[in-house]
Amino acid sequence: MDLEILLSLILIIGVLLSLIFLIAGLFMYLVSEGPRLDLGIEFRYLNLVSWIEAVPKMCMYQRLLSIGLIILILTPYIRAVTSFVWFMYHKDKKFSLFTLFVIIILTLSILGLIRVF
Amino acid sequence: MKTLKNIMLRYITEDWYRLLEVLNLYTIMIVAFFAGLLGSLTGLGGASIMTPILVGLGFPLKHSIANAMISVIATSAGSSAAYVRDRITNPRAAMYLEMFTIVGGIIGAIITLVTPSVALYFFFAFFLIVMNLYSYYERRKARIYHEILDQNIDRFSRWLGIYGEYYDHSEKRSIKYVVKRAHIGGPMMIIAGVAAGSLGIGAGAFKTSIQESILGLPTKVASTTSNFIIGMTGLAATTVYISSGYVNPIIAGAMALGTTLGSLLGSKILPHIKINTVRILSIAITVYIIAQMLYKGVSALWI
Repeated sequence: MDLEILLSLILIIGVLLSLIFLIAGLFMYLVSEGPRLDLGIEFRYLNLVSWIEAVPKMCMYQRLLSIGLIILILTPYIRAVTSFVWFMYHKDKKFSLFTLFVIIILTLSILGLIRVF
Repeated sequence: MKTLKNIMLRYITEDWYRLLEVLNLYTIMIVAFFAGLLGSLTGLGGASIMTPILVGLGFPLKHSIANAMISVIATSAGSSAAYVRDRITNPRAAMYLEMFTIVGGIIGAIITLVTPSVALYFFFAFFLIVMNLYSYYERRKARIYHEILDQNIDRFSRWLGIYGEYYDHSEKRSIKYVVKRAHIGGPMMIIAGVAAGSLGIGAGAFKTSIQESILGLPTKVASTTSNFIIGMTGLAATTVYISSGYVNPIIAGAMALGTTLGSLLGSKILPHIKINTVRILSIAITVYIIAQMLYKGVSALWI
């Protein structure tokens, strides 16, 4: 399969899936809390991984919204990983290295190893 | 009512109390929708319009920047999928440039977290002024060089070997291009990344200008590739903002949904709007954003 078609599919699926979860989450929030903003809850996570780990413990609307946002945030990461695999498969060392560099930086950042202390 | 306010102020700051009074989920979604619509029509991007409006309504700047960053990923992914499929976007050019923008995006997010909000207001206004002047100047230059296929490509760009061809429906012909001056254009993208990461915007116009004027990409390839890159820069900056506690799933979700739907509608309306209307709209919004951020900055200094 062409790289362009593959990347396009990843982007479409990522956005559609996240929008479905976001719409469901916002609807649930409106039904349970009304339109007011619930600002009393602190959403501080050490990193993206700890946010993912916290999802099962959340109430329904928070869970749906978090899943939608996490899918959205990870969509570019998945496309970087897919590109790396594609370039490796096609023995394109140069672009494999470029995408590997991007993946390493993003992984470090997702794991919370690059942040303000 | 005053007692209620006092009770609430024990738990939240004055800023958040004002927010509760003026802003709710509907307001955020409406602002995000129109910001996405106007951002798509003018090319400014939804987040750069949404943040000044929300700040004007009393939303704290750093919260707005952190949550808007996620909507940048949404609009980028939503709008670039079709251009990638139609081979107008150049994924190889994007992969090369992303190495620089993600580093810039992370640096930008860190700058925002350690910088006082008052400085960020001025930086926001300053960046928009510089970006518009740079884009205007470089676009004029790019027109002169338009479609001149330079055969004297530098050694580094030749080694990279990024080239492409796309069919331009408006001109009814195929257009070939080769990436040039990649050793300058790449590092320049760090600046674009810093601006995007620190201000919670895509900085698409700036990225497009660099690709057009330095890398020699045709306008359509430059703008669609820039759109594609924006999402990756957004991801890099967002990962930093998550640990700051500024990302609120309710606000970020409403922003992402609003801007995505707005930008989708904008892309449908755009072909039917006259170019002059788009230009006037773009200038008016840019002036509003700059004035709004300068006003907030000066107000913050006076208080």
